[in-house]
Amino acid sequence: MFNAIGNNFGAGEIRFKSYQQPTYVILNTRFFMDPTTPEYQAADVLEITVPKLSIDRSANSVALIVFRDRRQSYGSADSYDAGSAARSWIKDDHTICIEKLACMEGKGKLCVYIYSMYIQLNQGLPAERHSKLALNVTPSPICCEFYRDSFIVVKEKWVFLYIGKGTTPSGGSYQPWEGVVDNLPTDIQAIVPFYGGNNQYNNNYTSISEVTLKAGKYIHPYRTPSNSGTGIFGYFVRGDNQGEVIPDIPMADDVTRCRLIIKNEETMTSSYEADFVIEGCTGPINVGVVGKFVSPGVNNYAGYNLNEQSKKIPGGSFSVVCRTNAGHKLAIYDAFSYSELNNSQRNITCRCSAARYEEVEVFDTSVYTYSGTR
Amino acid sequence: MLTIVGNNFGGNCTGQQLKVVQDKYHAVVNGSITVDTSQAAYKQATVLEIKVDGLAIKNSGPAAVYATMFYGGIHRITVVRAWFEDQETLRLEKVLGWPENCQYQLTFQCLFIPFGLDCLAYYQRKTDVALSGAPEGFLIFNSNVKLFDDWAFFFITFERFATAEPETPINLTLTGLTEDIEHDFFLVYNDPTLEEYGSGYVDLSLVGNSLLIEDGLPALANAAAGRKFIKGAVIYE
Repeated sequence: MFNAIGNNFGAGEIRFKSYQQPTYVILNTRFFMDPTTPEYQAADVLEITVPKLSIDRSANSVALIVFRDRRQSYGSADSYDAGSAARSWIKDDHTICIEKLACMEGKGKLCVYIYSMYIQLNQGLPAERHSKLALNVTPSPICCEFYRDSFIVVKEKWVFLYIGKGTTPSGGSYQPWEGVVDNLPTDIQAIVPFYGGNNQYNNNYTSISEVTLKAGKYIHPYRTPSNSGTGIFGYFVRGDNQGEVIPDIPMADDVTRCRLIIKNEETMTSSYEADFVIEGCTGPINVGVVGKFVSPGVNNYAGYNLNEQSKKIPGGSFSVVCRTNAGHKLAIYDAFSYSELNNSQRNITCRCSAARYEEVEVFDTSVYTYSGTR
Repeated sequence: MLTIVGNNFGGNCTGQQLKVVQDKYHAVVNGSITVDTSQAAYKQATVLEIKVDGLAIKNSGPAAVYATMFYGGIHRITVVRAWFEDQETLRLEKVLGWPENCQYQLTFQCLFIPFGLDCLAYYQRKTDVALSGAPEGFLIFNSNVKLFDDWAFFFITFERFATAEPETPINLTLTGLTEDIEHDFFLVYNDPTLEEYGSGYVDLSLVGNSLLIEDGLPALANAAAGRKFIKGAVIYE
């Protein structure tokens, strides 16, 4: 993991996950840039200055550049996000270059994804052949099937992944997709572009949506339908890569603790993404809430059944601040679970002030309030 | 008090103190530090790290710390994740996506909860608060206010918070509080024109049972649709 020292196109901080060898470098990043800035417009080639790399020049590789296009349709926001590939290469051991796509100016803020291998030019070393493994997905609760030629190459420090999207399940086009992927290492964590398919409003570009790879799972919170021939393609650095030290609250083994666990693959009763761990400690009950989900909308609620262990937490409510992925804006997240009157039916109901389909992250603490009848 | 004894981002906060109320089950931290993103040390840091002296809990899960800056004539606010890695090390996410070479403030009004404690829990009684005699433009939607011996947890959401006279001082009476509390909060609002740099905020003070905004609501904040809110775990003066 390293941070860029600077760039010539007015972007903010750029952080890379990397694996570096004398003959190649794998880089993973996702960042935003604004084509309206004077720095961007003055640049012929987009250049990112970085700490010394292990190679001093590379062959061409690829960066994916994406713009956002959301449109209201029958009360919901449909995604027509789209993008294209740009050449990317290492110019010298301190400079990563990306081709400027003039056609994307005027498309608003752009997101750049790099999940690429950069190979040293003129190295002349003997080639090494890798073995590939098949990729299958076990849907939970609903997921598209993968193309049968989908595969993964698993190395000690990185993987290469190709997922071709196969059949969309009946009625599942607009649902969140999630599945456990065979052979996908659990230490891969990345937000990656899922590309391909029709895009009626952006015919000259490819449809793009975002997929999260995490804990051996493939999570696709929200997308519009698209045809086969689409998927994911890239090199991904494994592990926390020295510095991704943001902790999750560990899962509870100790049932005496007040702990609420909502895992969407087990308990989700609506179509909204949620993956929370809520831990309480000593009286007064304090709760820490960690998770990500898609907002059901300002005046809507999402309900979740609780697993057996989570039912041990007494009924109550809490309010925390959450952060949206739309410009780091803040929203309110309220949740309440009912009292111990009927534990077999215990559930939790959530409400968020972010816009419908806004992706939201929670990492806040609160004081738990009694909401039962006692 | 928590004393800051070092940092990895070139900040001038070393030697500064943060207020803390703590036992082995929790730590409420209040205070503010400034971050200068033009510092070379800041650019190099993956995670901001502050060394502290005087913490009672051994570690903690994440809590939200406010990050604020003044940009484009508007006070901006978001939150970053903060956690105690150990008894001497506080770590914070960096704000990503804000303008390069800016300064921002990190304000702690938060409650840190350590990992892995077994205990008997009980409910703390909620304090019902209400606006008394407020003009029509002000209405509380819901609240979660808890008063403890030396700190309080505030979360008040306003269904309406707008005045017929923007930019003129606001003084509202908040009933229900049994403690004499004096503290500053961020009144957070959202507006589509804020674009990519967080939500907007206005400084709001609680003095006894009065909610005060000395300079009044700016026009943008006054006109902002949606619910506005304050949230903080605050230590009594």
